[in-house]
Amino acid sequence: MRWPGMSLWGVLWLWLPLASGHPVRLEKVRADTRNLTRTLSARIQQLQLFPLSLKITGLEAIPGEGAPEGLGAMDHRLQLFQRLLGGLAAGGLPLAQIANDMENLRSLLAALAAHLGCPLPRAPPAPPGLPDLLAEAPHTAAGLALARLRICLDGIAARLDSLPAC
Amino acid sequence: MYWQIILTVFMLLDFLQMAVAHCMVHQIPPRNFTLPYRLLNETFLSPFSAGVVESWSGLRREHGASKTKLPLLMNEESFLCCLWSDNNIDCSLYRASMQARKFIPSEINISASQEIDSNWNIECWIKGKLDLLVCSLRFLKLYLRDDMKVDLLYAVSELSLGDVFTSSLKGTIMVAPCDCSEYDKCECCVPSLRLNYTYIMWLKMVIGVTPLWSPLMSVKPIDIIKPEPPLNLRLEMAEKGQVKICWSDPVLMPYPLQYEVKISANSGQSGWQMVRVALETSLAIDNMLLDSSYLVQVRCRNHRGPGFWSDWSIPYNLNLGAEVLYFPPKILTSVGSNVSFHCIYKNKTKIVVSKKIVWWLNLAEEIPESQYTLVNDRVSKVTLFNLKATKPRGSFFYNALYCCHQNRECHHRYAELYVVDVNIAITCETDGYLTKMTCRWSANPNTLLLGSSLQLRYYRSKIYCPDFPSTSPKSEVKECHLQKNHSFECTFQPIFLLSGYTMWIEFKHLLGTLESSPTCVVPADVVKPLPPSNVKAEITRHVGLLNVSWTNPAFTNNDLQFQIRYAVNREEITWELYEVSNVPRSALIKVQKLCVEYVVQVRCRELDGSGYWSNWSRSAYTLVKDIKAPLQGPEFWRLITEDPARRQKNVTLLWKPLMKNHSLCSVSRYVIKHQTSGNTTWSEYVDNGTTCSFPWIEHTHTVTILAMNSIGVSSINFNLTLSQQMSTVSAVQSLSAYPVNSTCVILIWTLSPQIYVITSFIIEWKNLNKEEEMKWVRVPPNISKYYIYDHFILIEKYQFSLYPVFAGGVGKSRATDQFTKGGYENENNASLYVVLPIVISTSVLLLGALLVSHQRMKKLFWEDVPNPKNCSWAQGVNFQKPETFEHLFIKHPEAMSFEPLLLEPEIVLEDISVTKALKKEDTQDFLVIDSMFTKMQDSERDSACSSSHFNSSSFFESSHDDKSSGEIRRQPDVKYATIIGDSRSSGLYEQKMNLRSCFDRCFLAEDSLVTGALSSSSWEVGNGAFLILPDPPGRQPSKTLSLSLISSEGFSEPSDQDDAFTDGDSPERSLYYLGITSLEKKENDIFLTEGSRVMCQFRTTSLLKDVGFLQRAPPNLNAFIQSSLKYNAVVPYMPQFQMTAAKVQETTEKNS
Repeated sequence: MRWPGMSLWGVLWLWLPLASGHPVRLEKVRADTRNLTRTLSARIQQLQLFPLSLKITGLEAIPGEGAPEGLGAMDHRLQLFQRLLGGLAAGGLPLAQIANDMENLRSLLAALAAHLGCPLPRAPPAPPGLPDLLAEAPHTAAGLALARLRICLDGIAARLDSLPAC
Repeated sequence: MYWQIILTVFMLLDFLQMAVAHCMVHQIPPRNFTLPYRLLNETFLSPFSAGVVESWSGLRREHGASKTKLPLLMNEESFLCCLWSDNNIDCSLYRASMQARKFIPSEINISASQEIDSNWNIECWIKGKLDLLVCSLRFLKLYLRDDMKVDLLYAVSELSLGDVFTSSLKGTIMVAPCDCSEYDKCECCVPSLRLNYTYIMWLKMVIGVTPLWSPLMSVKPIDIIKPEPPLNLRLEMAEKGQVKICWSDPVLMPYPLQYEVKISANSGQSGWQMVRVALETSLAIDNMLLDSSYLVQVRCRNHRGPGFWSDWSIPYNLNLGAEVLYFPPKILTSVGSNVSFHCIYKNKTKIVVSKKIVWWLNLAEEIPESQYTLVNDRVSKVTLFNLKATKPRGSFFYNALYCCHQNRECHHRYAELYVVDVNIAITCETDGYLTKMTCRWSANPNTLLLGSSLQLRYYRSKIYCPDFPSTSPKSEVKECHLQKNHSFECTFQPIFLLSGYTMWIEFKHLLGTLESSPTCVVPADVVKPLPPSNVKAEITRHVGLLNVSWTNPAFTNNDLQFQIRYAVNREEITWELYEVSNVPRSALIKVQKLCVEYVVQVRCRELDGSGYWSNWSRSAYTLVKDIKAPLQGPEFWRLITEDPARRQKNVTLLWKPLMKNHSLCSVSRYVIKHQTSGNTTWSEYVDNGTTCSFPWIEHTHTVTILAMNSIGVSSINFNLTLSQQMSTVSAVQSLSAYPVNSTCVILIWTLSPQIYVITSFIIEWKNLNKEEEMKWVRVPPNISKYYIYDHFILIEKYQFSLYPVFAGGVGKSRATDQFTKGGYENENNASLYVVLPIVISTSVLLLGALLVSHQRMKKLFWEDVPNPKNCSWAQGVNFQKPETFEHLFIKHPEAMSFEPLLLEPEIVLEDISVTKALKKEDTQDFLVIDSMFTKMQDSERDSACSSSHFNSSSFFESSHDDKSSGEIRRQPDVKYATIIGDSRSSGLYEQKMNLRSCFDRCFLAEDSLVTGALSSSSWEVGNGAFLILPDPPGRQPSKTLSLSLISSEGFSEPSDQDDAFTDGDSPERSLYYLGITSLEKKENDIFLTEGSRVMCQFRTTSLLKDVGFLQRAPPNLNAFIQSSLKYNAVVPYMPQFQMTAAKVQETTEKNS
């Protein structure tokens, strides 16, 4: 009589890792996303072109500093920054690495959203006059974009300390 | 009419216009063709002149014509511009510099040309090497003449013929001389071809001075290629055992080919079987064809465009070429895989059935039959499992697989098996900045095949790795660089940190391509972090722990584990490792030594175990500083020197510098505290140095030395009391120094039996031969042995002193200035403890054996004892009187004849040797014997039994001091020894005091008598024994019973001296002679002992009569005594003993 009971418990124990496979995977994705966000922030910090002690005008096309709330907003904002950085001509190896990290980060956010069952975000419209802006003042655009991106990333990292909303 | 004329004129004009605008060009086909030649006067330039074609019948063959010559640029730019139709041909000589005309490709109608008397039969082709255009000319109605010269003129244009004008020929016309050495045939060659260009050509033949021209021709060389015949015809086996004939393409073909295979049953038959195949270089044939001698030939030509057929290849005999066929003939595979080979084996002309086929590997290893498969009755198949990498054997990088007949006959052809180890591991490492991933892999160059290449291929997943990595055709090749250690290094930069890079190694070879198993790497999982920075290390004050702090490297998470390695900073660093995890960037480590400089390094890695350890950080060093107050004060000692002038003693304190482990970590000064008997205390400070002197005035003076550093003073300190009174106390009884080697001396001491409370010992030592400072060491009080480690010169003299130190002062020292010989090691030699008992026990056994043998020899002695009554000298002598002995030994020394009685030297030596031997072993024996009779002695208050052991020493002990005894020994020693002869007794005397005392008791009353006897030691007889037994007091209290074993030589003969003895009181004599014999052997000495016992027995027996001891004696002893008496009673030659025995028996009877 005891063996069937033991077997049942054994089967339940065997199933436990499988049942918990999804949360573990989600947790790993969340941790990796948070770590990559911090890494990206640290990378930008090392690359900081100039400190943002002055208010720069004329660059309203660059996304703002405020941290996006949900996963969709995060991806939306990151996509804008990704386009912006992609438009910076010949950014060199550091910017290329940042671009790769951005792509990875967006993939991770997408995976996180898929885990949470969030709908796929729409691609944001391109900011008007961005190419002209980048051609006109690339240094200012790059510095401001990186600074704002870093603030945005810190906000995302803070949001990722807990499970974010869609 | 006019109208017709006008029409005709218009038509003519139109023709003329057309003629002016074009020149027709004959396109050369890939076959032979006929072309007319025209005879024209070069000066006649009318384009419309039809002219009359002359025919030359006198053309002859031109001998010695030039061979193929390089084309020359021709200044003459004349050529025929012809227009032809089906029935007519009209040509005119034209020049390139004239008005440009367009070329029109057109084929000359043969019928039109046949109208002309003279034609050329031409065939042009490109040779197989594609570098030469050859045109062969045949003259249909002309004969070659010696003065005939033929040239091929041509111009090359990149454009197609429709786009070329006559003007383009200007300055570009080349001439290639033709070789007309063969009969009615010339051959013209144009070298350095451009296959896709347009060649415009015409022929010019000059016979004498008459030129003949051909119309213009054009060709693209690629359209008239005549390939080389196919090569390397061979039979091969297909996958399922099917046979096919294979060949190779001729080289350098610019387009795909088609082939024709011609198979003939044999050379004698004319029936050919033709098979056309396209784009394949093989043709399957029926296996039955292998049984007969079919010939195969192959030819080829352009598959899609115009071109010539090649010549037929060399015939290939199927019968001869198919002895052994393998499928595959060569194979390249990877380690661990399984491969199969097929074989058809024809032994000469007969096919071997498959079941008789066996397989061998490298002609050395027969493959088990279980691995064979019979595909059909002709084809055998073998499968090799789990293959191992091919090891190069000489220049062969493959295993040779042989298909043989089961009668162990093999054909020389074999299949080649190449097994390559492509299990190549790829390891990747991401740098600490997370920007670069370096992947490394290595391949054993010895296992790679010649002509092979390795390359890393990879593809990237968006994020993470697939569950089951696999190769993909969408992969990319990553450039890798060969390193010095035969490894390759590939760098990915920039990287996708969370993407999965699936990589594998592709092995390419002519025989095929192999791939290693793919591996997937996420760069974030293989990070080698930057080492921790800002590492600091210090020993914490008061606590004494090694405190290490650092800053985490950039681009890492907080979940890190750390390894700290630390070591004492010296030349040879021995690291110790300490691991911590998830700590707030510092760690405390307990270390043994606090006062040394530590070197510390830190490294880190991800806590979850992924990635690699970082490099070690830069070294941090601790500073040596005071941690605590000194644990104890220094050990110190004193030197006392007396100042006679002031009559005071000066004391110099010496102390050893405090070691760091006691000072923790430095000593700034030493504090010397004094306390005298007057309870006066004061302190003095010594900043530098380790000595301090002061006068010793008070009776007792106690000194304490403290060590001080920046933290405080030592809490545990040594003190020393100087006391005049205690300096006379001697607590050390002995002191020995044993040298071990030049660096070690063992000092051993014993203490006096008195119990002293010793707090410690001080050992001093000094080389007396050199003016060295005294060295000292403090030793715990509970030991009696100490190893002194120093540099000793063993041949020099050292003084070692040991001072006991009491609480009340320093005691009297014990000193030694020489090393003890024999060594300390001998005492510790454990073998002695084994050997010595063996020697002793062996000696005892030997002695016992000798005793037994002596028992047997007693009879012989008794038999040799002479009858004292027959000795004239003994008759009348009263031996019970002291004066009798005195007379016997003293009064007649001058009358003694010494010379005849001198002892033989060898006898003396024997006696001495026995003396030595008896010192140890025989003493015990004596003790036993003596103790056996102690009871009797006690009972009788007599010790006569021990009298048997007396010797010269015993006598001297009783009468002389040691000095006089030594003198006597020196002078008459030999004589004396010959008289007494029992040197064992000497040993007994030397070592057994109780025995001596026993002896003393025995002879106390007769002391003067014995002395007198010895002083008159004129008895220089041979070996003998002399025994004195006192008479029992109960019977004859005033007499001494004396037994003597005397040499028969000395006593048996009557002499003058004998007469003197006889003057004594003979009726009162009671001296019994036990026996007289000559003792010439060593055993006699021992026998004397036995004799002594016998004498004791006699004496005891005599005593029994008076005191009845027999009843109280142990039964065995009693029986022994009785048996001894019986033995003695039956000795026929000893009437005295018989008589005595009778008396004893009588006494016994009376008592009973």
